[in-house]
Amino acid sequence: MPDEAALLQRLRQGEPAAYRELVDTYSPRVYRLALGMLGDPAEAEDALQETFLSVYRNIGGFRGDSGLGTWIYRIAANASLMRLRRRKDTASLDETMEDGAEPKVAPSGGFWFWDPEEAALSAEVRQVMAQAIAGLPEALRIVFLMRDVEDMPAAEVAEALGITVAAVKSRLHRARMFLRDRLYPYLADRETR
Amino acid sequence: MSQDAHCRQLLHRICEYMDGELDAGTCAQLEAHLAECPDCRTLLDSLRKTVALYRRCVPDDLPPDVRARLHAALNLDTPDAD
Repeated sequence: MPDEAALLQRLRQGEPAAYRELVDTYSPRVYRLALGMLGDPAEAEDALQETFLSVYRNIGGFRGDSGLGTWIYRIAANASLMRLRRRKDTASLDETMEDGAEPKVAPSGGFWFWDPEEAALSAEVRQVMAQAIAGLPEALRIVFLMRDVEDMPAAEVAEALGITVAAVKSRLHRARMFLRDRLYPYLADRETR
Repeated sequence: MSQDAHCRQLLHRICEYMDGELDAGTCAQLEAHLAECPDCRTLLDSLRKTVALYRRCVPDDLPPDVRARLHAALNLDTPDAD
């Protein structure tokens, strides 16, 4: 990660290369978070672009009360959560309009699939992993992704999500147990690393 | 304390243990329990494997096409774009 204070100074001076540096530094994590939350690559890409457009529009008002990265992840989390809410509203509307229709479910097949090292993972395990994380309640899923997948400190997760560190720990515990319960039959022969 | 009570206590603190967030005394108590309780060792092992599985299945970088479209959407110069 770059020197945030120096980068922020360059951003406030309107240096174009600084914005590019900011985008290239933070976009991989923002995209992974969006993909993990939404489970759909196209929608995650939309959330990614939306996040950085919002960052560009609002960087002038960023006061530095939190870290730059934390502020960006908060915007990214909100972008994904808003999309999930819109998706639910659409599903609800569809149910109202199409009496007896199956409710739409979150796509679950777009994540966890491209790491070449994981070529040995069976399609069944990949599907179980994707379904398990898609089934995790949103409030737990975002904490799991930030804390365990992105390895963000609990305090930074708490700040990005506007919750207490104790709430982060509680949600993380529940998320891990939820995922572990669903993956347990597939874990017996795996090595921890 | 009964074995079940020990297990419930461990379950409550196991994530903090995984994350190295317990004080030395509590950590030692839990490790003593783990040494004698195969069920709790299995739980801890499976939680670690679950996290490891998800952690190793994400890419480090943006897919190049996603990055190119992001730069285009933001009107960023891309002098070193592939």
